[in-house]
Amino acid sequence: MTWRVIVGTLSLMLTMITLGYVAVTEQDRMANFTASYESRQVEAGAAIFENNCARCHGVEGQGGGRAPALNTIELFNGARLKEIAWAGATDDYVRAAIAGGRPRASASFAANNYPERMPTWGEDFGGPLRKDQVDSLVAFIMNWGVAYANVTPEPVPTVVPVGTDITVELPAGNAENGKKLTEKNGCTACHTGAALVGPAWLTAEATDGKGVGTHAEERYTDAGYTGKATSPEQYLFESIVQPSAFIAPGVDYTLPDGTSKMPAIYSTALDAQNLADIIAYLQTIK
Amino acid sequence: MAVFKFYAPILDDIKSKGLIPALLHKTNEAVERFTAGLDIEDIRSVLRGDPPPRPNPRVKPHADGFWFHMRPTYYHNLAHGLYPSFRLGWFSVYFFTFEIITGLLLMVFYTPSPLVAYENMLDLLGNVPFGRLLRDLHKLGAELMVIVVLLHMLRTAITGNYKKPRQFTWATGFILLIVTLLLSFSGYLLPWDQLSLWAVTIGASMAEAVQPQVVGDIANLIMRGGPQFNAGGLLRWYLLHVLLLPVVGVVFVGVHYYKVVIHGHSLPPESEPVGEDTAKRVPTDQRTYFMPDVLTKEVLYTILATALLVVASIFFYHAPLEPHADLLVTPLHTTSPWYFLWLQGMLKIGDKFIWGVVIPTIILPGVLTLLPYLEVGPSRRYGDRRVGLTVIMLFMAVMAGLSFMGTPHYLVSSSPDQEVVARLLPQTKPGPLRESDWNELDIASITADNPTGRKAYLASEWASAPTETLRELLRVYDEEMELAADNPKCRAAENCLKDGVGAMIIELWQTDLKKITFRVIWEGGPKDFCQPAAQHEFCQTAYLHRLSNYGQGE
Repeated sequence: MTWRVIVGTLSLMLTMITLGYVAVTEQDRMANFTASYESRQVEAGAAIFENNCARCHGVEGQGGGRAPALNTIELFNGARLKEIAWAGATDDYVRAAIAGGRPRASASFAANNYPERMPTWGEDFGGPLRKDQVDSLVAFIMNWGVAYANVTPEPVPTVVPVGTDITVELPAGNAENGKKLTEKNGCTACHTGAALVGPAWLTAEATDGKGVGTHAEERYTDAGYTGKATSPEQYLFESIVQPSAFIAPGVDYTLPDGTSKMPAIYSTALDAQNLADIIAYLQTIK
Repeated sequence: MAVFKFYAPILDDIKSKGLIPALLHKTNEAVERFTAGLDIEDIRSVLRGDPPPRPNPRVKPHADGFWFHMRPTYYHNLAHGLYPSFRLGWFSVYFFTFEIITGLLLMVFYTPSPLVAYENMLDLLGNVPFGRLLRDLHKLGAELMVIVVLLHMLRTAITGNYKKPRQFTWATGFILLIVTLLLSFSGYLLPWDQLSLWAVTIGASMAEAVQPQVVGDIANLIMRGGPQFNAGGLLRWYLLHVLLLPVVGVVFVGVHYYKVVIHGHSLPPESEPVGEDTAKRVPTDQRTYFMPDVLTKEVLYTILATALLVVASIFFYHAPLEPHADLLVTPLHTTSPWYFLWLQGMLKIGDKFIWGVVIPTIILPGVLTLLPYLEVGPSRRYGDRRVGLTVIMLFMAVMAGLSFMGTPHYLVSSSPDQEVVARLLPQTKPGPLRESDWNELDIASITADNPTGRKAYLASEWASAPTETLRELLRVYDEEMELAADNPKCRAAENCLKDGVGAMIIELWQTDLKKITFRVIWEGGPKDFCQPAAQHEFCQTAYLHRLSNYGQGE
């Protein structure tokens, strides 16, 4: 009996000491495992990249005739994010681009005229890659950024919303950049082309043969005008940030609830400079 | 008159006896009620090992309590020690309980869905304190439980305990063996890694072979939960693992143990006259009472086994975790778990239906269950059971042989070039390359001509490699190349590597990431480097990160 008590007590002590050892070292062990798993994701991502992405984006992500370069400082220092006004982090941007693909040509690379669209890769959106595979791929692509880490990153863009007050003084606009912004922000989808949803911008497409610039100059002084603009610039400003203040005549542009079909999101999505650029561009269309 | 009056009898006791004695008395009463008959002093005397007083209060829990009514009041002196039973039956129940407890804790952190199951494993390893320990304990316990149950069965067969009147006990034991194997096997699928998916796929594909075809198709569909293993299949195997099998197990442990107690623990064969079963008639001077001897030993075994399991799980054994399950990638050298290797071996003999279904599910269980009815000689003594023991030993030898045949070493056609690379870069475990020191995988200096520091090494020139790690890797590589050049297996398949050259190319691919390409060529090889569908060339690429640290045992 005595030895049973001794062996039992010692075993119990051994168990408790071992568990105590685990309790003390567990935080480090978990951190180690997490770090090594993240490294293994980079390895797995490298293989996926080689098999699926290298053909277009280049073996080392250097780009080529088919798709943009990924191994480039613009992706990691915030420049690309700023250009497209992405408010999230870079890895979220990369993840979204991989998982969802690019069904339309990206406006940032419109000039390059890449022959193929970026396919959808994420399983959730009908692609072939599981979530963990997309994550691995993101880890691999983000690992290129480590090499650019000594470069001071541009701050992650935070859009200072322009707001709905149309009396705000806007900076000088750049019509050329404004044209790009109308494409990136999707304005052209509704205001140009065959399937018009909003009033036509272009002179050639408008039924009265007047472009959006001319309309802006004429309408704010019309009798039926219900808005508060006192200049063509303010008229365009108001149309963008408060679409329901005055709804252009012609086709019915209202929703059943009486508001405009144009989404009232641009007062928060655009900053003052972008808005000024767009207005400058619109005024050139007479 | 008061509607409500506070009345506690203990207050009267305290008044009459004083506070401390009254509380002691009350505690003693509670303990006595809880143990169904033993008060504190009785328990202490049991633990001290005092001889029992007369009348013996220690038999009361057996008569009146729930837990101990299942245990005999006394054992025969010859039947309660480590010999002859090694307490293997008791240890089987210990492991069953141990698995239920660790399994219940693991259930807290698990969701049976292919979308998150693998992530749950990563969380257990990287986010749940004691998570890895839990997983390791459960897995180690499962492996040991299979071993203990098999040994228990073997011991019973060798000492002839299955003979009359214990034939039915043996049959229920056989059902418990099946439950144990299926429990262990169904647990395989749950982490949703490559190991689980492919081990269970092998199992399910056997169901497909059942004839007539329509039955096989339905069986296959039921096992997989769809044409392919996915959410439906995982949920079914999960429910099988946590609900159906444990319930069947608990019921049959009950039946099995009931039969054991009804017939008594049989004595070592040599200690009773031939043909007599004296287990039920234990003479008074041969009795060892459950309390204190057997009870304290079992408490000791519990503590000791748990301590060993905990220590082993922390310092020596870690449950493997392979990459995420992928239906499109079949890893080279996939096998079923070790206790089903014999089945995989039988599948290589011939028809999938006969050897994979009829024999293992009808003939083998039939023979094993009928064994006590076939070996009908009255004597359990080894000398009188030459035929029986020979059959048992032969059976074991055949199972060992079949298990070997189940491994990839036997009758699996493979190409020697792939085998060479798989030795360094296995697909079912980390292997030498992934476990080697990243910093010692030497590259050339990075220049404009060589932006990745690409450097090629030949296996045959291993001795001149610049670092110890490389020398060791290349030496193994060279060894494998020599083996692939000529061995009985490749001679039979006529695919030996003639004039084989093994090269290993290392490049710095990204910050902290190296690309290692194994290129095996033979008979001259192709002109271009690692192009798809090249003749006489096999290339395999691996990427290694500086911090991936495969040495943690997962």
